[in-house]
Amino acid sequence: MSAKAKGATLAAAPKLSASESPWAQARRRFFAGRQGPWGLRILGFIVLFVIVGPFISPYDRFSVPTPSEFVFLGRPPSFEHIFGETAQLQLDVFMLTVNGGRGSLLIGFISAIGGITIGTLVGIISGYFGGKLDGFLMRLVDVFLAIPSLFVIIVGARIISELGGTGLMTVIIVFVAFGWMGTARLVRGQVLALREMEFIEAARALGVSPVRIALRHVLPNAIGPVVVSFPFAVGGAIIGEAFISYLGFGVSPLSPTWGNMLSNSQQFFLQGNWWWVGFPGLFIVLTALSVNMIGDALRESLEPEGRRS
Amino acid sequence: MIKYALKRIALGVTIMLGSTVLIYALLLAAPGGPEQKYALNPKYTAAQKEGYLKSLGLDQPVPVQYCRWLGACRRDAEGLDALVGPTGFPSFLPSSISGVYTGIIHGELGYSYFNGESVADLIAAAALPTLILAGLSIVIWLTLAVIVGVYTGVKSGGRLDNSVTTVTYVLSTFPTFLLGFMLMFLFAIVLDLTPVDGMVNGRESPAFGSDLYWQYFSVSPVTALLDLAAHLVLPVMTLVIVSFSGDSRYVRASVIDALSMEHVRTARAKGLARSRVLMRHALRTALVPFATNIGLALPFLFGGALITESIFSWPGVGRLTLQATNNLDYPVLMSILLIGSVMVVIGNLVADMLYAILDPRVRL
Repeated sequence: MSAKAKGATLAAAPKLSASESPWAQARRRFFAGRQGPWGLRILGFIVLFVIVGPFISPYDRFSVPTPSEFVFLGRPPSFEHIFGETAQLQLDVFMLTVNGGRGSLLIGFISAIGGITIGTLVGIISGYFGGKLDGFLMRLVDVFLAIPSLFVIIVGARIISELGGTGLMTVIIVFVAFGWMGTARLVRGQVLALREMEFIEAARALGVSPVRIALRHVLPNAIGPVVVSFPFAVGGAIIGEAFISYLGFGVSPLSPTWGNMLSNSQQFFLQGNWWWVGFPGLFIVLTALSVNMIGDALRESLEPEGRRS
Repeated sequence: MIKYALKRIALGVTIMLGSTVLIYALLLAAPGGPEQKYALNPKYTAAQKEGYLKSLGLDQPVPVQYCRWLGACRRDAEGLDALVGPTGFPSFLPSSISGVYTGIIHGELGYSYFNGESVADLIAAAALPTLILAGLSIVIWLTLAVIVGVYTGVKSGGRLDNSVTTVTYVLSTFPTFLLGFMLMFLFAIVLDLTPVDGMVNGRESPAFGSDLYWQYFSVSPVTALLDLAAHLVLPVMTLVIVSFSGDSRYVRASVIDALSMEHVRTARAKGLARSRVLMRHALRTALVPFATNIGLALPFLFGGALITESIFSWPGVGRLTLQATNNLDYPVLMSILLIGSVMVVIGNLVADMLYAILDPRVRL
């Protein structure tokens, strides 16, 4: 790998001791690299930005420019409006970006947590209890994976919004409903390997209940790859939201997200209003980049002998 | 091998049946429907509604409706008789044997709620533009991914590798539509080198796919092809940039892995030339998993790129899906989802088979 990974292993090697838990080792490896800490810094900055932003912005959704200032295509970034103003309603782009960031990050994290929780549960049940249940659940995973995901996501979002669901929940429900299969497969594979190990057999011989074995002994050992997949799931959901909002099936403009900002601004982009597209776009790219960096660093620190990618 | 293939095919058929159930359930939950167009009409009586539903077969219980949609039941018979076709063979067999012509397994995809056109015709018309766009992109992006991936993998750690890897890393996290926007802005607006969107120049050429277009094409093929090529540049560029970066990183990682394997070291120790070791020993191992990607590209060839097609107004399957979703045009949506999942299942099957052929260990 590159210099980053080399730095990580060199720093990690001399301090290895038997008393250090695998998690502590992984943590040290994670912070010894460059990718992970920088990813965390960028993401931390973005999170702070969207939390603090709305409080320091003097504008809100209902700010109206004075008639003498009205310009149909909005105004580029200036001292009063550091991210510029939108076309039409002339809203402050900074205000929209920070509020939209709240929506986007919320969708990203909640969808990822929901999808991964369901996936982990299905994976553990399927792998640990095996048999017919396993067969059924894995065929269910196959079926869900067989339908092209982007297609079914826009159809699902359209149907839910037609049924009266609006706002962030629509998108989250669709992402959770079609975002659990990968994790389920991953966890099942881990559990299948763990199930045959001696310490599980020992616990079984001691008479520990199956549910307790699954939760206390299998889950903590199977969770590594799930942790790795979490940042990728967050990034995927944020980009996914941007994508379906861009196509017009996502969150309504009343609750701003980076995605629907892009959707509203596209027609003015080609007329020169680049800041309305540019700032939310920049934040989407930065967020996706940072969560991917965190995910890659996690993979390298949790699976030191695993495949590089 | 044959046993393995049969097992995989049986699994594929099971998955297909499962996905028809899922698609049916999804769209059953959806609002609207064929008789909704009368919903606000004050003269629309309950008796008329009942007749309308009956004529469409919507008065039947859901499992019967599903069975009829699938084609395993006849529409002109009730109860268990419906499972047997007019010739006495089970209804799900091909039309020539069972004498049943209705249902999706007999190729009857229905008619659009929106404009009454046959779904099969709509999809066939949209499939060619998608095939052109997706096919061209796949060829370019797989080639580029292999070239860039192998090169950076062999020279890993070098300066060029570091910069290329960083660039592909950033690009692989880039949302497609943002990239499409940026390319459109740069090349079509600022530099004015390419058309903004569409598939043909609307002022000079008839709409792509119409009879007039083919006449125009036969009269001046060079102009038509050049026009098409100019319109292809931006969407192909978008698709290639977004997709190749992830794949080239994948190839790079497997080349690095393969180069550190023992058989490669042995080959080098035997004194074989570097290039020969690379071509004959390392790349063969490294590219086997990648070759199976070709099977996975099949769904992409049909579904195309929803986002890219919608940004550049490409009249393909992706755009048809979006229109049908907007109009809640269920027959079209169901057929697209269905064909899409058939493609996914066949694609996976092809990938598995390729893998089994290229890597004999899998069959064990």
